[in-house]
Amino acid sequence: MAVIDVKDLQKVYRTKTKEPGLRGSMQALLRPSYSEVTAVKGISLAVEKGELLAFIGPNGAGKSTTIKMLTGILTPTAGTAQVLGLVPWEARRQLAYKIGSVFGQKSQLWYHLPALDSFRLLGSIYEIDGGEFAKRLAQVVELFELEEFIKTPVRKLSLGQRMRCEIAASILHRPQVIFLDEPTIGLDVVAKLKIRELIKRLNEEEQTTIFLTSHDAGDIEQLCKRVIVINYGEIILDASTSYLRHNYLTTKIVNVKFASPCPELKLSGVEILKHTEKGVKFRADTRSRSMEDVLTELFSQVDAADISVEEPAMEVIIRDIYARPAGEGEQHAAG
Amino acid sequence: MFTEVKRLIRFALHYFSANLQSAMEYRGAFLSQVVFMFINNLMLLFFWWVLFSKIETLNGWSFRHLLLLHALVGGAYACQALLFGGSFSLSRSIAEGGLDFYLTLPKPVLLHALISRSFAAAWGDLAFSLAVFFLTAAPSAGLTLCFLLLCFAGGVVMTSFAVLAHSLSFWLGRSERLANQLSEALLSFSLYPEGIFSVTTRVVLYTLIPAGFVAYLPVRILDEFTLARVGLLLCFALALAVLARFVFYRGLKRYESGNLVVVHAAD
Repeated sequence: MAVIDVKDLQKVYRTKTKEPGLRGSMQALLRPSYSEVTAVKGISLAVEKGELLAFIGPNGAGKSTTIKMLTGILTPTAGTAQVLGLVPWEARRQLAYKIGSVFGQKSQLWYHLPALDSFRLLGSIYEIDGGEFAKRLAQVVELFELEEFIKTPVRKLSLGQRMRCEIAASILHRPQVIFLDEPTIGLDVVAKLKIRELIKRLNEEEQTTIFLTSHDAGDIEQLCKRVIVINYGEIILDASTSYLRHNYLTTKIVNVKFASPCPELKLSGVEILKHTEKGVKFRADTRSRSMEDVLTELFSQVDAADISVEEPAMEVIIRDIYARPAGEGEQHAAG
Repeated sequence: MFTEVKRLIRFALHYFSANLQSAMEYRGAFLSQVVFMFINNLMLLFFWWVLFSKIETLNGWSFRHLLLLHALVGGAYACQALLFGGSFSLSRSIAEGGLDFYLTLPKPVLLHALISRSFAAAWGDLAFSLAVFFLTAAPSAGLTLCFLLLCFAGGVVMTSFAVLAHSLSFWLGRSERLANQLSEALLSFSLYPEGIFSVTTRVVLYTLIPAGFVAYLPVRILDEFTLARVGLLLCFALALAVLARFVFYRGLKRYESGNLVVVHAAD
């Protein structure tokens, strides 16, 4: 049975419009005009228990609006949705005991207090009794490795540590479904890896269904089996991550800094973007040649001091999906 | 029902404690805010003392009445700022999506938003209120209890009025300044003796800007206690709270969230 079941969900915002400049402002003051913006255009989807689903798209695609409707924050203009058998905007408080949410840009922790104090407050909000709370806290602290900094005021934590605490705070009441909205936003590479590892463990060890939105293609590749791409409020792809990987996440930009100068370099099947004695930047397409092959050839010629691999930007993936012939990329069976 | 009320009180106390802990993280700032607020309130009284040293009464109001008025208003304001500090920034929360956090948690949104903040400086108002009351009234235990009840009722009136003013943001968009001006108008009118106002103004002060229920009626109750007056005050406070709750939840249906970065930090 689907834990999230959405049918033709739509959200229309009414926004004030005005011509630019002072004259426009004066006109808007006397005779305001409004237009309707459809943030979500009748989407349908179903998520099964225990799934780790990526819900991705560029800025303004409708990701956050969808999550806000599924958590009961916003009431949709049309359509239906059920999360764990409840209509979110009608049974918001009842549903809140069963779901968790993390909005990457909004903290639920008290800035001046240690995370432990916020956890205790959340324990009280969710009415978890003392003994049960202590047991659960110990589990969460162990799962998220918080022991070292749980008593440090949140303002003194790194962004990565703070995000670990944010996710930990959202699972204290053992939610069956958790909505993670951009949990890796602003994090460095190491912190991102840690958060991804923790999300995976949470999904595997507690069988929590995870609905993840992200701007980062790496989050999806490394975490999810299924991906839904949304753009301009419409689902443009619902497919397995392997499908996305083989068809859209094929171009990688590789930056290599040499350990010693290398004036000449021969790499076949890649597009060299920049080459100096100190390093090389090239574009590789994994459909024509695997990254392993490319890197083996590279390392047979040079020693690398540093290497980084850039995933294609979300905007590029979206553009590629649109560029495919109609129907090719849409609604592929996940799994 | 009773269990639910007990749970909500426990939840509110937990928040009160977290707010206090957060404020005390900065010991120097906390203590100086409290002391300066106390001094600030004393300065206000000083001007009235100068005036009343030249006249006996002002349209039936003596200096003693004025001291009681300031003690009551200080107590009511402290009640609002310490227990329901979120009422000062509700408009911003509405306009900038700050209610999202409360909407994802299993507690009443309005109560949660109100108790989520507390202003440390208001401990200075509370200390001032109690000090002036004890020095002026030389009270018994019963009178002290009555004073605390009147302060709480006044705090509920101020909070409810603020909720109504800030709820305008659901319809008008960002109207934080208007809401603050309305709240300040209530506070300002509360700090002047009723006797200086015309009958028409007094009608306004017992209806649209209910300073009468924050200050004047409570002073009369302390001066001459009648159950009818206490009943009237409590009924008005309750009715205004119910109205504020109704308007807020009507507005909440229009809530459109937002995407600003938000952190929880006490003031």
